[in-house]
Amino acid sequence: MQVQGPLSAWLVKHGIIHRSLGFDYRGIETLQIKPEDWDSIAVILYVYGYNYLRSQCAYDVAPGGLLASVYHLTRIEYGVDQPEEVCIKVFASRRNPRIPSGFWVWKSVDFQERESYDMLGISYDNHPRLKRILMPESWIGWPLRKDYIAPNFS
Amino acid sequence: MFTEAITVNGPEQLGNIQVPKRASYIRAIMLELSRIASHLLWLGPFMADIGAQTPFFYIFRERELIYDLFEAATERVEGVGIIGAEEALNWGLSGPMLRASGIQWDLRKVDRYECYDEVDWEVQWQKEGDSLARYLVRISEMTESIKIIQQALEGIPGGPYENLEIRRFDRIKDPEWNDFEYRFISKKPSPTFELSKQELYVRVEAPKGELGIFLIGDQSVFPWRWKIRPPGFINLQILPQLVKRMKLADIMTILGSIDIIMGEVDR
Repeated sequence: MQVQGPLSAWLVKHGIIHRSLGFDYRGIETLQIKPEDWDSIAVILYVYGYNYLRSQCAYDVAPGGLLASVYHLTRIEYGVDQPEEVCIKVFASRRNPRIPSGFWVWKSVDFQERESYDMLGISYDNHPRLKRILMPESWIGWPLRKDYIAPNFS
Repeated sequence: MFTEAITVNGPEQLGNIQVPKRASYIRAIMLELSRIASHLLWLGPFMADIGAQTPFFYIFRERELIYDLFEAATERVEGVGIIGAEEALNWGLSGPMLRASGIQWDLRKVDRYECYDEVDWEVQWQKEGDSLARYLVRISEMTESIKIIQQALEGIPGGPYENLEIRRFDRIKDPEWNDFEYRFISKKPSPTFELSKQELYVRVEAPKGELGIFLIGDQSVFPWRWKIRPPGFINLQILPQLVKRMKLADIMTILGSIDIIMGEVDR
């Protein structure tokens, strides 16, 4: 039996397409959103109350498979003791990884999306300055992909 | 203070601007305090070169007193680099930067990890959101930390401090050496155990902010993804916005109050 979290139930009630990926090890709800819906759903989640984006990271689901972009959101309010949290995953195809940027909703993804672009090659549409941030600008290749071959420095 | 004095003297004399007596006295006081500070800074290394190591540390204490006086005179820290509460949340700030903007968010109280909820302490926060507020938050956090340490030292329980069952041993090779009698007396191997195929985001309240690890396990000793969320990296994003329309001299104040360690920013 797939246990549905409260946010998933709310989204279903409002007819928003998503897929519930269950709960992670600490019991935090995880949802999957399609890249083309992420733009509008980000605004919907912000309005719902998730005003603090803790961390954005990206990882390689399987060698040759999809690339995932993960957003951890929290609601910070005055006097709240047990914060609500949710984890959103957006999967992009390996050949053309394009996801709308979350910058215009939560500004804290600025550097983090640049890092995901730098390390995995996911390009974020509408990001104000999507350039490499950790590797030198002229670097070729996406270092954290599982099929990356490190150049020989000897 | 001498460079400031001489920068001002040049245009004054060129433009025949008269300096009031009171200003002249104030300048003399400031300049002599600067002279004392500078001589103190010479004294430390000179004594250390001769052989007396301790005065080196004492001079800094004397200089701090002089700095406090300069602080009161020039007000370099107040009203500089103001971040509102909404903005701080949107930019994803954490740690003292968030608490200085009026949001009482401390992961030690929210997540209740380790033994922080058994110790009596308060979240330190300020409302203004300028560099002075961040400075006050950090200073008062230091006082709170001393209280936490004292209470923890009084309340520490007995019992084991290691969890030895989780270690993996190579049971096939050398069965006699891995027997019960020999196992814990010989050199302990570094802990290795298998991570299940789950993912997890854990965080602590580091001094700079929220330090988080996003871990995806693979059914083996090595994880599939280990992403670290460095607080300095995220807190640094707000710098271009804070520095707009500020004086050039304020950049140092703002950058210093964000408290960056470049090692975690540029990994």
